[in-house]
Amino acid sequence: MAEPDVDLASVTAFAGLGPGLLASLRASLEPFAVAAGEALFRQHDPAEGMHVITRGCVRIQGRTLADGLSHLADIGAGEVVGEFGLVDQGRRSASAEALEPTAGYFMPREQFERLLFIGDPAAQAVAREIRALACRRTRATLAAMADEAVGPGERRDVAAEPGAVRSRGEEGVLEMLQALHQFRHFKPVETAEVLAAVEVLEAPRGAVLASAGEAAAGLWIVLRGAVRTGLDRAGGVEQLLVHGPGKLVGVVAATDGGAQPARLDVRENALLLRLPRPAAHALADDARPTAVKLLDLVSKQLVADLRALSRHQGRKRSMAALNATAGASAHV
Amino acid sequence: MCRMLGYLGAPVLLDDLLYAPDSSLLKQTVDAQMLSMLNLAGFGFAAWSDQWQGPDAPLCYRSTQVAVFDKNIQAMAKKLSARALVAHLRGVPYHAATQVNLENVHPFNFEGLPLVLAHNGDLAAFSQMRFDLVEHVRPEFRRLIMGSSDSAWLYALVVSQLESPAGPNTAEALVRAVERTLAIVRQVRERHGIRRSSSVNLILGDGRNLVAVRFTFDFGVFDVAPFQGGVEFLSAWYTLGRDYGLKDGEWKMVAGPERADSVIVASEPLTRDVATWVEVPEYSALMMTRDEAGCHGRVVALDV
Repeated sequence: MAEPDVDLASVTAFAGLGPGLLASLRASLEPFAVAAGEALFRQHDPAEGMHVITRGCVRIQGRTLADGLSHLADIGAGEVVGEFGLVDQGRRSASAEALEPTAGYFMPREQFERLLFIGDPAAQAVAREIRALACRRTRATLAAMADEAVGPGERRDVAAEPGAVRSRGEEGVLEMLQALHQFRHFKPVETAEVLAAVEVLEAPRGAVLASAGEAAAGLWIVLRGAVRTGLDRAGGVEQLLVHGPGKLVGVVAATDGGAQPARLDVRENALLLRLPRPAAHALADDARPTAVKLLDLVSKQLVADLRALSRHQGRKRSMAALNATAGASAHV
Repeated sequence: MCRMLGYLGAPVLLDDLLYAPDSSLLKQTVDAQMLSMLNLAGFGFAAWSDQWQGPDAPLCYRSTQVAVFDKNIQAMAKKLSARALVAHLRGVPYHAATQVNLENVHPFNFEGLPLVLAHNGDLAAFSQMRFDLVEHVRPEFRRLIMGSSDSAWLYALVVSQLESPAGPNTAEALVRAVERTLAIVRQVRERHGIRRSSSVNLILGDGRNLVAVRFTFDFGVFDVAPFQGGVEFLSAWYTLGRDYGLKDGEWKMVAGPERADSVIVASEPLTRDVATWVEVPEYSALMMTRDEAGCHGRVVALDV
């Protein structure tokens, strides 16, 4: 195939990588070329990796309720497509189709994960950039949602006098952590390291872990019970996400160091592990296996949450469109 | 755990919902995509059609046969079209203590009432709770409870909370009855110190309204090995549109939400490609109505 028109150093996702790291990364990339009209991938395909576009242009479109089609972006040379497929083992949330003859490189997820878990600095740098991108998009999505109306029926009450969060001993916690499938690939010594770095908390239903706009307090791992992420609305909270056992909460602020983008409160009596902010922030520069694995969970959670927020937004808009046409009195 | 399906909209051949799609309800008997269990303990449906005698009363069918082997369902599905449907595949623990009988097959319906209910989930320690629930069931309905399961009692509780069980009811009235029922169950759980995660995903229908509930008491709370429904919130999905059918090799509805006249809700999408489906949010109810104004609805929070 022809030499690419774009130097990898100018690709946004590879920003900050020096020549040595870029050379290391290039060895993991597979060249691809598609004709105009050909698909790089289709929505709901297994997400098997990321495409780096070096020539041409790709249209990203998502199908919605009732077979609607939403044009999301046109991606040209120097940009990447399907980057969340590197960290997320889910399915493509949109389709990518070439608008013109398009070429570039493909980075397979399996290869990327292998590099990540052996501590390859280039892979870690790409993962860091993907996390940063997920944080930016999550904040932008939340900001857009805050500007959209919410029906009274979607607001949930806030506990008048929420109970207090309190520390608890570690008895039984190690076994609970090891039983969660997210932590099954942690060695016993690594799970013990996680436990040594966290505070064990009992949080009653209604307790507020973080308010929107306040400084990041760290990262929470849900061991039991459930935590809700929501937007403050007049007279209540609009529920956005519910996280149960094995899920991580507070990942955006813990990753980008910014303020909490949303309210976090306890939906069902919960047992939580809180990784304090300094420790959470230090994960990105820690090459030890425990930190790498924990950071991988953070990446997966960031992407999963962003996908869920997008679906929430799509659901609200589609119901509003339905009711606007039906002339119903009750709107979402 | 079980699988269930609700439909409200333009008349559709039952075969197109129950058999034809690549992950149809009947295929979920042994090959559910979002559940790691077989659903072998019976199948039932309630369907409404303007072409049938007494269009406000559902046609109900129930069988304890393993659904994929039931020739009667298949024969009916190829002939009957309905404007509303609630169907349910029963999945139970693989244990000899489980009662597999006709009385426990969903959807539940007391004769003469338009409302039917199907349940996916289970109430932990239900045997401890059962007799505390009696006082919340209207006397005239107590003798009609034939099933021994938590689901049979949930139906009796819901219809008892309706101001007008014989109908007609609005979707809002159905959701209020569900909220009262969940509040009663929460009180009784607290009285008995029951804290284990217990899922109450429901589909209710009366031919004019369709309500899908996604709710779990004490989600994420369990003291034994992790189990489905404790670690993952049980799923419920829906899709909107019109002209449901096989298009471009895919079973789907088209025309965009603004022109929708039909809704399908199910414990998991009927197609492996879920692009045109979205989840009912956790702790919420999807309430849909089809009337002179068209098909309309909304998602409401269940803050029980």
